[in-house]
Amino acid sequence: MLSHLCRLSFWLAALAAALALMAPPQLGPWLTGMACLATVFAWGLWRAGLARTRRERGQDSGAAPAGFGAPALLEIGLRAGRAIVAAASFDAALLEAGKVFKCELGLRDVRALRIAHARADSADIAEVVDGRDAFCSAARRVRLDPTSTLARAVMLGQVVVGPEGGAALPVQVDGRTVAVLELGAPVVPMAAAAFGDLLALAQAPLSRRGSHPAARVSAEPAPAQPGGGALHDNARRAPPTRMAMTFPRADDPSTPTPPCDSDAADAARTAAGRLDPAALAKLSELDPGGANQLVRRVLSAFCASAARLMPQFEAARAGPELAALRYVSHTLKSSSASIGALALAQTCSEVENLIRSADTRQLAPLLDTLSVQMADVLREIDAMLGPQA
Amino acid sequence: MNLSQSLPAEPGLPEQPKVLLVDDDEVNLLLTTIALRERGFAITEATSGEQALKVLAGWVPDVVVLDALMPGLDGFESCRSLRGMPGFESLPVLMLTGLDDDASITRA
Repeated sequence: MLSHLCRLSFWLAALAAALALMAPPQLGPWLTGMACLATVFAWGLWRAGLARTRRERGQDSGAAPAGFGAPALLEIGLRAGRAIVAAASFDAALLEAGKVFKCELGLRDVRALRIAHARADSADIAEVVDGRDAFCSAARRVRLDPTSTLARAVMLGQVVVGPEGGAALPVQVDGRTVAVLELGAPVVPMAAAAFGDLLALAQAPLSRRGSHPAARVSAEPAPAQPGGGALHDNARRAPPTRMAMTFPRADDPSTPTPPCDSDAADAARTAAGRLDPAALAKLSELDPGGANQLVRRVLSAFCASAARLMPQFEAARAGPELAALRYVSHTLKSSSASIGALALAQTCSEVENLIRSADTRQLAPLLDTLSVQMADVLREIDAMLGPQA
Repeated sequence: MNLSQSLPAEPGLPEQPKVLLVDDDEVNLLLTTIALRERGFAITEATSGEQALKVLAGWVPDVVVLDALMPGLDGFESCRSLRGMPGFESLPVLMLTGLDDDASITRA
């Protein structure tokens, strides 16, 4: 209705303007005024129509909504495919695909989840490992809401686009969903079918990467740890919410993680002590010929740093002195990540976040974990440096 | 002082940009130094805010890179003190930190 009136006013303005040019001089001003009024009226109707369209699409911003044509969507799909193929591992492929979709579509949020284990006795329970921090957080048991896009994607093995615009892209290997890319709603609204088709383009290459054995070598998720785990991924959230990424809240639908058995604990320790080969390879890139023995120097520097910081850590723990604990965990967070001790870096990050959010209820077991992981990392470094020492 | 002055610029080439790198952690200091030297910067290291201010009392770099969280004078306080020193009002200062909370980022 508004658009019809707008068009009518526009043509009326055009007609009045044309008549003003041809009419006798005494009618000219009247017709010109009428043309101006009709133009203003048409503009007002156009703005009202635009505002109504934005309201209907949930767009309150002043920017005009833009859309994606089929060629643009195809190009985005191809970019995601190229990123998946070029990635070093399956996990990296998953993260890269998520990044492409997030950047190209302007998605509000993207998270990659490895489905580490699905309970046979309960289809709505799954153990997931969040892609945040390169899948180094511990596996976490979650209860899937059967109506959510995530649960439907896990169970159906198909791309699911939710009513609010978000979507879930499952990756299947041998008929089992091994990972899910959960995508928030695009900032620019787009048709659910087009969104689904675009995501389906990435499903096959991701499945191929997931089924390739070599792609899993450095991509295994860390085993379960008590109290560990991560689910929500939103880098812009405030610290209290960041804490909830690791520790279940009362309103969290996930079930608490049970204490791990001794085998799992041993496995966790082994994983904690292992230095990430990719991180070490990155360090080596700074010293391509190895002439400067950079990796060795960095590992030695880490040992020196640990020798300085760990006594401070133990003393602060006895206090407890939270500021000192925060300083040590913050410092170790960066340096352990640099040498590829990713599990230790994750624990340090969790300790820092807990102290920052002033919630120290879960601090004690986390500090235990940090001590154990540090000992394992130092043992690993000793083993690496030993023969040449 | 535990300072390691970088090599001087090669003759005939434009002078390397001088960077004062301040970080209390050995690993981060080493890695950042290597990465910046690799890109042609001349690095002078300091392991604390206090040490950095002493260095700045007799020498002016082109840019200062400060770790935010350090014992003693932290990066924020170091930056504030530096800004109060004559001649350093507009010296470029970069805060290099793993602090990812909004408050720290805004403060930096």
